[in-house]
Amino acid sequence: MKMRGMFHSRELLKEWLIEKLIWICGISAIFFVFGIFFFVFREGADYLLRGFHIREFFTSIEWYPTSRTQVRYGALALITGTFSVTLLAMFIAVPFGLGTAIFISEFCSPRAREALKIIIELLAAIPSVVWGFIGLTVMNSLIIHLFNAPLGLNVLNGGIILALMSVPIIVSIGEDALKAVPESYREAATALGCTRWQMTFRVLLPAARNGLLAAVLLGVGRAAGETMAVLMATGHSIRIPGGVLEPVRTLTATIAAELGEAPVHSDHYQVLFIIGILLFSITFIVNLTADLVVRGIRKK
Amino acid sequence: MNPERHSIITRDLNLWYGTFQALQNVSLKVVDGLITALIGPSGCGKTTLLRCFNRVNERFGNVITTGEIRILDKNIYDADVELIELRKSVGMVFQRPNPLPISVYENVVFGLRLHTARAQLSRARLDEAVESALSDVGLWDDLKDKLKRRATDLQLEQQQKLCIARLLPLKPEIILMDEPCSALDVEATRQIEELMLDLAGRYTIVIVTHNMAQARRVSHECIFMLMGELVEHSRTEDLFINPADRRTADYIEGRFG
Repeated sequence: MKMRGMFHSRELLKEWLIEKLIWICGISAIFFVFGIFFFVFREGADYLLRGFHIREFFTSIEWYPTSRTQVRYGALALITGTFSVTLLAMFIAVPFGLGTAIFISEFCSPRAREALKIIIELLAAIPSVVWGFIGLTVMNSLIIHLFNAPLGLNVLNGGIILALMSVPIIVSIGEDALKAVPESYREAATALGCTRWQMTFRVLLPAARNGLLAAVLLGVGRAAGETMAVLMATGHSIRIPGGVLEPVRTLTATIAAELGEAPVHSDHYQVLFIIGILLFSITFIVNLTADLVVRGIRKK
Repeated sequence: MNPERHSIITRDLNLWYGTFQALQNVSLKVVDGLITALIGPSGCGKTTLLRCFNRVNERFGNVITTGEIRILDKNIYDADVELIELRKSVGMVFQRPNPLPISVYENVVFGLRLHTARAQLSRARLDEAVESALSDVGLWDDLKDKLKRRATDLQLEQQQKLCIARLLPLKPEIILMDEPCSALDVEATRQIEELMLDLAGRYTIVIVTHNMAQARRVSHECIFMLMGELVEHSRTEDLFINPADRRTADYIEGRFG
């Protein structure tokens, strides 16, 4: 009897420990997100509250953080750089990614599906510096050759590289969304005489709308936050691009390139952290919007 | 209705799922305008047979069929048969109500939109189709002010009626029902059964049911199947009161199944 009692309490202790451990794992995400936000904010807060010209930051294209005569922190060109490259990337990646997702989930044979999924996962596993390398060499000479451009490192190059990097995310999330459409809808549509195309456009896309939107927004997040590949592929020149064949510099690339050389806690250092806050806010807003839109649709 | 006319005729129909033979030499004639019930224990092939009539069981590859099914005097396995035309004239209602996740209105006109050129679909024609189809299934009064609501938010019984209503604008000859009441409560079942009797005559209805009492209540003719074979096919009263085959008698008396 006593033995059994001991066994019992040991089991209970084990249960308790496992439960606590799982609980810690569960809430750690909240802890990390707030931790990161707090840290990034703290590093930039001093300057943000002291001498930061918010108007200059958002409206001026003059980014001269190390000027001897007059230091200027105008980030408009960098913001435009991030937006232009992301926009072009999405312009390519959304139709391409959703098309692939539809093909994989609805139109291809099971064997081709497995092969494609493995290859697309492989695409997602390529390190971003390798993508940047491809941008720097292959894409660079290709663009010079095809468009007769003086330089191949530009918005087009960065956009294509980013598109290729976000396609795997859009495909895998989009395919999950299409797969999650209940079989009963397909059955109903088939019995009503739907062709596969009609089924895709009239039943699957409306039914999987939320998931597909989430796929696209995650792709946007991926593209806007990517650093190394765009640093290498976009030409790293601070200006508002007049076309896709002009070089730009993005917010992320600026942080990566300059943080190492900015003296710790200097104004320059702190402004780079303010850019970090901006990036953080952009992704936060994108995710929040996605969440609200999805909830809104669900409620309806 | 014309008792001489047959809507569905099968001859020596065999069907295999891979190596498993689900239907064996099924030959039958379904009389035009009547309700014919398919009964039998689980796995006897009744649903498989039903799904042959509009060829939806072919969706899952791996299905081999031999023999002949004539619907409206045409073998539906002929090479020149258009599946889409077949499915227009042979509608299907499923076990669980499966309206599409769009509005009530769009559910009803879904088939019309699929099969009609856009230029021919005036608003008036669509409106008329919706009113007439919903009136036929007794939903018009309940839903005429809720046509924009999502069909998946309706009560289950309304959903199932809607699933019947959405077949009607395509003017089908035959309506196949695969245990249409198994997800519904008693009252809803009664309503669907009444609706079936109401629609009989205008449409030929084939219903699969595992509920023998239901077969008895709603069907004019009854087919008993066992292990992929058709055992007995006769008028419903005859089959239940005076079964010709020993196995039918055993089944309806509840000795197995």
